[in-house]
Amino acid sequence: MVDFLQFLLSGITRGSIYGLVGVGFALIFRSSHAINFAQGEFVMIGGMATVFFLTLGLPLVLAAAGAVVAAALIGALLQRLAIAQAKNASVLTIIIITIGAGMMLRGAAEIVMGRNFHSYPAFSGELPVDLLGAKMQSQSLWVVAALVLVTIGIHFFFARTRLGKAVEATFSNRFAATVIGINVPRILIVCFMLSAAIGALGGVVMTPITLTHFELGVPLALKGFCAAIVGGLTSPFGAIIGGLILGLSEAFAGGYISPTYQEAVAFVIIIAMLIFRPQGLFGRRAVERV
Amino acid sequence: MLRIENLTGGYGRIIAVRDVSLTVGAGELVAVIGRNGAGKSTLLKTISGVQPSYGGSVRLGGQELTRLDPAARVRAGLAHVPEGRQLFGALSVEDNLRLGAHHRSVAEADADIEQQFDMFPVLRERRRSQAGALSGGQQQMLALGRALMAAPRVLMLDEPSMGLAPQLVAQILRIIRTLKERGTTILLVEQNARAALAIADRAYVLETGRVALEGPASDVLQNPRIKDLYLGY
Repeated sequence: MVDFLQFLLSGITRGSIYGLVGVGFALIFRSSHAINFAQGEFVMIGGMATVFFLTLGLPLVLAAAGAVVAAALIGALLQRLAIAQAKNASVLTIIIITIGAGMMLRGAAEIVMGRNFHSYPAFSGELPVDLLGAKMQSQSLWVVAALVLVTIGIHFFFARTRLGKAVEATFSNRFAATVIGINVPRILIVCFMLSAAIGALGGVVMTPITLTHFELGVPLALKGFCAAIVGGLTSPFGAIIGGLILGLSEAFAGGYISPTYQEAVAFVIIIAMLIFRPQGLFGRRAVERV
Repeated sequence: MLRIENLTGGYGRIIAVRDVSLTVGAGELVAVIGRNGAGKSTLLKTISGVQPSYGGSVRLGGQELTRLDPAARVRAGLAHVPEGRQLFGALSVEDNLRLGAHHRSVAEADADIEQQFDMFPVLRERRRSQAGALSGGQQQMLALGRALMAAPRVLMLDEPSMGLAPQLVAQILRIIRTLKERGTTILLVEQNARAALAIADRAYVLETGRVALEGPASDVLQNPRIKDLYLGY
């Protein structure tokens, strides 16, 4: 029973991390029908920039906020300077641009921060939290809290704000959005900024657990992508649920089968989803009558 | 109100609209008729800015729009109901309408949406339905309502009768006439020449991207060549 609880807690922590990465994929896909393979790099930037700002002597709160803002700005630049330039490019071209951007960001991080692992202390001390005999790092609670915050924020954004509705409209019919006067280029920038900021927030809260490194984004992007696929790519909430499913599956597979197979779980899930439910668990199919 | 001079536009190297000049006076209903491929839709898209223009100018009430992006043209008062409705299919009827007023204040949108519901009662009944699930006629009404939510000074309609049953065509035409009676300035593009000429004040006939004929709608209707080519008798 304690084992089960232990796997459950570690699965939730992992899952929250994957969810935070996956949300960014879903947001970008929702706005531009493209996959942003630089999404993992925004997570890396979140942790790395926090480390950087801490070494400048900033307090943790400011360093973390600065890292999120910096990532959002880099996201805006990526959209404006690289993706918006490829105006009528196919989705495949845009995907390749993001792969290139990811390489560039990894290279830049390596130059600025070196090849070492970096970290900073957990926000609420290093003492583990005890839950019915199972132990959990206190930092995990921050990760879960970040995921909850992002979930609520995204719900509010799409359900209540005009900007959120304009994003929905752009996804639903980009031509019509242009015709009725929605500033589509600006919407796309907003989506990149949002998903970069969310990714970076994930990086900020996970770094005391996972440590950070210039290549941290590569495996994380794979897991986040898997989370988004499980959720159906178009749905940010789907990506969050997908992340939790993936994290729990990994934790239980690692605990009850063998840690050796833990890393394979993501691939098994992706393949199974593509075969049995390619639209994902929450993929939405618009009704179109012609 | 709307003054187009020597407008040229197209897709890449294909020129679909060549040196078109036309005017729409305040409160006027002007029709542009022509066959499939005559450049009617491209003309509207070039006026609204969703297609680049290669030359010429677009002015609205004295304001030069030629260099503005589509969003700025909508803010200046130019609304375009594109061919094939182009709704946000996955969004609700109400969301579609509100998006039409996304550059205006929420209070203005709240007031105007009631006006649209009074004009199109069926949209009020179905305000929570997905736009993509409406029937063709309802979709056309929603497309019209969405454009009206921008409180435009000039309304451009691209083939509003396309794909509708004759009864619905008559209904849409009645709505357009009502809009005109309320003082809306309208530029109507139609392949259904007879229907368009029946409600228009003036008309332009577009042939291979050029204006082949212009004049009062009744004159165009009586023109023997137009009768032959477009009216089918």
